[in-house]
Amino acid sequence: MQPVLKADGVGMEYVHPRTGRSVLAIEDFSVEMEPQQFVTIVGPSGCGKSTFLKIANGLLRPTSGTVTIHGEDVQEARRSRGTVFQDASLLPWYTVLRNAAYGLECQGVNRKEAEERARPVLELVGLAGFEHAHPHELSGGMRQRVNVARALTIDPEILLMDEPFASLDAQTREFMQSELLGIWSKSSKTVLFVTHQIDEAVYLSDRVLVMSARPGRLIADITVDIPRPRDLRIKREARFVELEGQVWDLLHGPESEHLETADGHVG
Amino acid sequence: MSARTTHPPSTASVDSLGTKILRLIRRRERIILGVLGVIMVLVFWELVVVWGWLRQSTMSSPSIISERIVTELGGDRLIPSLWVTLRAYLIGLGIATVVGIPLGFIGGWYKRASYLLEPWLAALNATPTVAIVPLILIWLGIGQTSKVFIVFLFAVFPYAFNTMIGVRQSEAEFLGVARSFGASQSKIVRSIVLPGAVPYIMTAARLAVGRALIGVVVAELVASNTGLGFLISIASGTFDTPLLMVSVLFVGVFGLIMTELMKVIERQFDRWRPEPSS
Repeated sequence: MQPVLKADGVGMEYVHPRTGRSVLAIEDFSVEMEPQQFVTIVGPSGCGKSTFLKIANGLLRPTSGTVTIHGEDVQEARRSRGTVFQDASLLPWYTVLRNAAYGLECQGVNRKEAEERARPVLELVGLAGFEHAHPHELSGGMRQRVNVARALTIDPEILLMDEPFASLDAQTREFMQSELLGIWSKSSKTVLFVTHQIDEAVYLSDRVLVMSARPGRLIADITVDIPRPRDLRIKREARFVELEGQVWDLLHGPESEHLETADGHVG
Repeated sequence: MSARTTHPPSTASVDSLGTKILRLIRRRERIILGVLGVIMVLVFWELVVVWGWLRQSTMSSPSIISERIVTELGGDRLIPSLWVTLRAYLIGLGIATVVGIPLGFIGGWYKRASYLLEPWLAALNATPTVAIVPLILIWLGIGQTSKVFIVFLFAVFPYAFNTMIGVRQSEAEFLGVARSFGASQSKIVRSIVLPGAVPYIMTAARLAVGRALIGVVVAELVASNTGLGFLISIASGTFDTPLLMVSVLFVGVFGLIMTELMKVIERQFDRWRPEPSS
């Protein structure tokens, strides 16, 4: 089967404009995502996971390698990817409905049609009845639902999610995680999710990609074999705790400490 | 309060009218005290003139002025003057709005245009516009055109300056969203840049409404033979204090109406913002 998203030898090198010193943010990152897979990237801050998401989002061009969606370069494939941003980033002057339709409107669909297509999506994310509210009237969790709805409304091949629950309180975050799985199972999208929360990654994913700190390299690709649908209670089960521990060890192993001390010698 | 709660229910109904009035007064405190403040000054003014502490010919008095308002309203000076002033004011303000907002938008959105415009805007904004008025008289002479132009000059800079700042403050976060979904430049301007600049433009409008009024009065004082400002200047020249007071009063009321009107318009644009009270 053709992968939905394919990254092939992606590298990202930043050159400091004055000193000329270069920093390698990502090194030789390759991954293939099957349709309807939920894949999460975890890694310490500064490991380049958000940089990779920006590349997948077409906002950054990698210095080496390619990222394609269904064989099409991501720079061109803007209709194929829907992004869910870290902050809800809703336009305060638009209603919930207009915000949910906004992604589609940006792609040139007229307002009326975009709003018609956003309506069922709002229902899917549990916001039916809030169409005419403004963002300031919503809670943080509800705003993130609109953020998700905006990406889903364009009916993308792949959903790119950049730590969307990072700014929510712990309880709301857990609730949104299980809600997201519900939405995902109904919409049957491929999802690439970036987080630094290990339990979030294991709970949501089919696969957890673990990245090392600078330069960001793929150090493990762990398959989460916990059956779905997953109740939040599985977070206390033995298999979950075991997988969580496995990721934790990879992130906090002696190698990453070594890399931190070697940080000053880069370039 | 504590007295009311300790009283048995039967006596509560006796003093209920008194408490009701007290409560009403307390709720309308702001209006009642405001009106009271105005009345106190007017009464004091009247008395000071009646007692002969100040001369009636220079100070006039509230009763004389109110009589004069009635006669002037019936005459053929005040109302036509008011219309003339209103016309120049609205035309000048209108042109300032139509020119100032696009000018500010260009300055805020196109970096190079802002480099070109900024020295002029900064310099002209810092110069008291009154100082330029004599120059306008040399260029355009005395009459409606120069009056409108002076109003325009007074009002255009707040528009241009605030719109420029508002456009520059467009949130990078929103621009990122729009670009990620592939929005065109015009879509970005319509959906993010302009709505984001609305609060700045509203502030500009509030400033412009006041400054345009200064402009129209200044223009009529020095460069006109009609209007409320001209009436003030005639009254001053003929030591007609009541007429002067009536004219000033009308200019003041005019300004008040415009400011309140702006508040109503502002509220129309404000539906998406949280209530200031909450």
